[in-house]
Amino acid sequence: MIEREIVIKNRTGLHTRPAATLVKTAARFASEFYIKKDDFEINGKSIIGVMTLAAEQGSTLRLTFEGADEAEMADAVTQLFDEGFGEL
Amino acid sequence: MSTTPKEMTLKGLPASGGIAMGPAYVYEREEVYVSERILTDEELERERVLLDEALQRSRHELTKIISFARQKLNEEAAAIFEAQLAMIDDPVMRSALDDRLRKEKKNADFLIYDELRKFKEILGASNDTLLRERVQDLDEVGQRIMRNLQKKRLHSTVEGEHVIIASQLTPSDTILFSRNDVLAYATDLGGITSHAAILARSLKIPAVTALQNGTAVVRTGDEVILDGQRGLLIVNPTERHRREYERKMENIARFEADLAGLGELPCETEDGHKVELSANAEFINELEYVVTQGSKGIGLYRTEHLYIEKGDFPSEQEQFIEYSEIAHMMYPQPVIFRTFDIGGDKLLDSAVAESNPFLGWRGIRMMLDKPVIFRQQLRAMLRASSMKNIKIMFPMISGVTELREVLDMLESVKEELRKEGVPFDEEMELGLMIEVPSAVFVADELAKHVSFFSIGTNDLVQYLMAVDRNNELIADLYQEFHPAVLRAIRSTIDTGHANGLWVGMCGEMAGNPLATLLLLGLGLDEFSMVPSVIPEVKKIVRSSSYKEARKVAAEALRLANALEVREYLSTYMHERFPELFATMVNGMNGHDENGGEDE
Repeated sequence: MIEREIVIKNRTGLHTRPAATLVKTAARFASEFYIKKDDFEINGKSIIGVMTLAAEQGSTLRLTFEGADEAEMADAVTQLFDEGFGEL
Repeated sequence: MSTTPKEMTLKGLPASGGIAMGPAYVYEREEVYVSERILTDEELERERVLLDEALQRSRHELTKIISFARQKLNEEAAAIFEAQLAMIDDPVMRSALDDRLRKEKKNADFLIYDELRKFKEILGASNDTLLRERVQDLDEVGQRIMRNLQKKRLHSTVEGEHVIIASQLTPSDTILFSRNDVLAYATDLGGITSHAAILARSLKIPAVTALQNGTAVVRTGDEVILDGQRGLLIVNPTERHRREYERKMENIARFEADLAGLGELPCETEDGHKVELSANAEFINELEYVVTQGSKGIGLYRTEHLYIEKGDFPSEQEQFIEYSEIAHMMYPQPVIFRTFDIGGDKLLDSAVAESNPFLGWRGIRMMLDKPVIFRQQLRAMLRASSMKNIKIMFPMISGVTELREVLDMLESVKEELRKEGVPFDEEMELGLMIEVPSAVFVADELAKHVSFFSIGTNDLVQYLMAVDRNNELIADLYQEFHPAVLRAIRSTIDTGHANGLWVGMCGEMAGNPLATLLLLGLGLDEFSMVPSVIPEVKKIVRSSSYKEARKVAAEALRLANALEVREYLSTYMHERFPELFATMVNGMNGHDENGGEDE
């Protein structure tokens, strides 16, 4: 299992467009992917879950990846956050 | 239909600018209703197949809408439907559906309805308006799948040109209508950040939302005028109103033709130096116009009108509502709110008679003496900042002691909000107006505490020159091109930049096309002006190079007096932009000299 902690950089947070990009990327991998914010955890492949997180700019999220391609998935997902979903 | 119908005006929120006139079409969307049933084993098998088919069909419909949105609109519009597509394939929802089908053996449309209800409750309870409005997206996806399960066909084709009146429109309704001859939309519900409103703006179709009772009052075929600038729907307009609006529509069309295309383009010189053009504003009604003028946000939002209209200081809640609405309307563009600048010529009714009001109890000086009121305003601004597109600036700062006092108060207000668990933008940028000459000289000290300066030339000029510009005897001594003014501007910009700040200008000089190259060459980062002149200033910036502007600035700064500077700039700019200045004679004279209070 891989764990990463990230801070949301893009100004709109995980609103419609970034949320769609995130789950689209996650869907390319077989591993399980969960996002935890405060005490609330959701499946990172679920756009409805991602939307209900209400993660805004500056929020800290804990990401966990588990499965055969967890390393590649962790890198791909972390990169999205690092690049602020192309909104920086 | 028998006698002459009576005119009636409904008031809503302006959601998309422009004006439309024509017959109304009251649109009632066919809602899909579901009932709960227990299925036999045989039916259950069939239900699984039907669910797969319905999902497939819904995917197919959305894919078509996405490609339409991408071709005809923009990525932002397409993303709305991309997200809806992802909802259809949501693995969590899918596995919940499969689970419940197996265990509860209920009909799939009911299960979808029930699953979505849970998510809608979570989103609907959120404090975040944007999130709450996403409930509509979930609703639309649910309706689409359920409709496909029940094999009902979507009906939203309207023949002929109409103003659509609906209780609520989904994003897809908006798109489908756009293929027909829709003149405008008006809805009873919905906010200005709903996706349907965003699409209406992308489609450049005028729209008004939050009318409350439009569908109850208007009947299909009624003549209506929809004013997307002011958020009005006029039903059965009088002849006088009709003529007035026809004239307005002609003016808008002519103006748009003139500057077509300019609004979307970046404000950048030929050699790639970028600056931002933003608008000075003080009324919500102005904002649609501000956006159509190609502004990068609001560089100065004056809050005094709240006080002037009410005749007293507005409550925190009244302010919060107004500031939030403005932040939402301009989102994602930034809005710089200036705290109350009362006093000087904007007198308090109860004000003590001052012999020298401009040198008296005004701006930040008055606010620091009224901490209760000032804190209310700061709280309202902070509370409205959760979308992170608000900045605050303080007027009339003369030195560091004052600024520290202001920032201490702001910090204690922030602490109060944190304790209450009220969210606000922790990284909000703060700035101050450079308008008192002493601030120019201690700009390096002031710069340590803020992120930006905004030069208020109107007051800076009159304080530097010791001229009351409302006094006709000496008004000719009010010279914005005086070398002292130019040097003060240069010094402020240089000091700001040396300390990592960006520097803007919100005085009238920023919107004077004669000064555009000069200010550009001095390194000004942001020009905030009355929205009507934005296209002209943008045209000048876009047809010049930064190199040329620097030369103009250097030359102007070499000259000895205001008259020489003005003549130099006038000759240069007229030769350089003959067609622009020929059509702008009016604008030049109209570049008004009255403090911009009643534009």
